[in-house]
Amino acid sequence: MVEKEVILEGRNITKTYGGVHALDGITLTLHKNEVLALLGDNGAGKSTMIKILSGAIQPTSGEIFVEGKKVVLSSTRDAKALGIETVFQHLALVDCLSIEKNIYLGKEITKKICGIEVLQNKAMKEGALKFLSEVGFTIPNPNRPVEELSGGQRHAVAISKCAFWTEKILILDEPTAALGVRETGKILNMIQELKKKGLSIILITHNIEHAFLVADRFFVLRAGQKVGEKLKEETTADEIVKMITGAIYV
Amino acid sequence: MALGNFLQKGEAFMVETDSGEKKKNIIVQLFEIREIGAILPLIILVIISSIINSSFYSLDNILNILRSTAYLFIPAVGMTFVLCASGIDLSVGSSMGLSGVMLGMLMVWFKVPVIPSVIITLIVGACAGAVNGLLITTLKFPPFIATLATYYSYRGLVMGVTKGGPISPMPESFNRFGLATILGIPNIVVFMVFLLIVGEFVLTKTKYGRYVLATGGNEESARLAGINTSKIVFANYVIVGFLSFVSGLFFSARFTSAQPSLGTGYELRIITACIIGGVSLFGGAGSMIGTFFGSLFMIVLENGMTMARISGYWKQAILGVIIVIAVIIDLIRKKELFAKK
Repeated sequence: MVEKEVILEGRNITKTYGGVHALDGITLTLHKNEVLALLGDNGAGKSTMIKILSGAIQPTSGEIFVEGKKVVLSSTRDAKALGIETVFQHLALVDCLSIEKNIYLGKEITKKICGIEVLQNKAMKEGALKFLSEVGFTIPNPNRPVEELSGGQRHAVAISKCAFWTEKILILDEPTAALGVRETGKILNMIQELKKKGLSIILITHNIEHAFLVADRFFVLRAGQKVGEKLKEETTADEIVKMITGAIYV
Repeated sequence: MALGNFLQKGEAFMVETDSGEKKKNIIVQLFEIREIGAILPLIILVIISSIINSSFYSLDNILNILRSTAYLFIPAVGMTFVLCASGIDLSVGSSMGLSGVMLGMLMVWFKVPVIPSVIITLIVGACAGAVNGLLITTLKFPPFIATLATYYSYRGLVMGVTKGGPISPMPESFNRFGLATILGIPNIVVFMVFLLIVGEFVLTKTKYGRYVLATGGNEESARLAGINTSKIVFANYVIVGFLSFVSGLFFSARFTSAQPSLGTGYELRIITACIIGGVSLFGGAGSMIGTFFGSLFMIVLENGMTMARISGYWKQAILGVIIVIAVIIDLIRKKELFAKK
């Protein structure tokens, strides 16, 4: 394995709920500018892992390093301040607002006029649309509220909403869940564009096919244990499936 | 592999829209104007009123209509913020009554000078709203229940203190303020126009307005975006309480007495004005212009019917129909009705 700069590392992460080990001493590293697919069956611990890395929950034990520095993520706000943005499955969009209003929500551009902060709606729209076209996302009528967009478009807006605000780490929780084939393709395309922009991405998915299309490396969990970690060139879809289902136990 | 093809092509994220790109017919376009539910019936009503009674267009009558609209519109500005954030305030009418009685008590009973009385009353107004805000944000009362409680409490307070009778006469300087005009326009109408501009600006051009809409659209998402939604909701109720007191103040100044029944029934008239004006019942959408036209519609309807010598009892039936139409328009706009799925 070529040694690359590690941007995010969870070292010996353990999370227990009562007596149950949701995660048992997992060490996960994310290299700079790679797409890491985090795979595993239901209950494998994928969600627990990313919740810890995004600051939503705290590990029972273990350490987190961002760019080599030890950090404590006591909230998602802490994680965001360090450049870790997470797109959860519920997308966290405000349906009645348009795309740019969602992307800039809570971080609006304002200009002080006579001591009053005035929203710069035009500048925000331009900024948002420029970013969207950079990641290969053009939308016919950007003034519509996001509730009128299709499932794929909504996912794309949710991803943009996070990707726009970080230059470092993006965590995607099942970004292709419940999407049709065509829209899935477009989201995967967008992930590649974001990688080209220099982001390091952790992708959680159930779908091996999707993982193979965009990921550089695979990290497989099973029942809170690490099963394996493989570069794309070193493995096959068949082997990964066996790792997920437990036919191969490392 | 179908997905692979997409990726190799690297095509832009052109998402075809099912209905969005088709040329919309004129009726659909018309319904997309938020204020249409108020403007269209208002135009019809104005035409009918002017046919029935030629004095409808007299300056006196127009100023009279605008003055009555202002009593409704001033608290309705606050109500628009509340409704946009998915709340409701039933206590506005009682707050208007409380405002008048506060002024009466201070100026007539305790002989407090006019300006301190007004300042104290307006502070009490903000506090009356803050009580709602605290019940809703801190104690997590549903807005309907919290404001139902204050609706009764404030009205009861007014009735208890006054034993049901008016407090009058108010000082002459206070009455002069109530009757004053600026370039022939009653000062309450000038204030209404000022409030309309400020309200629309706050709603569309400030972070506060944006956060109100976001809170109404999806409170959880708004909170995740770092917005303190409790603070927004609390502030909304303070604003509506304060503006209800302002409206009550103008009313008492004009009629130089504190009427304990002042504001009775206003809560529903104000909510109706907002709904007719296109404020979404589902939160997250609305405009001050719409609320203004909604308020104006309510008053023109009453005025027109009075002038046409139609019994006031019919007014309620007509309002009911208008509300149904307004909500249907809202549903059409949200594409929940007549939508091709």
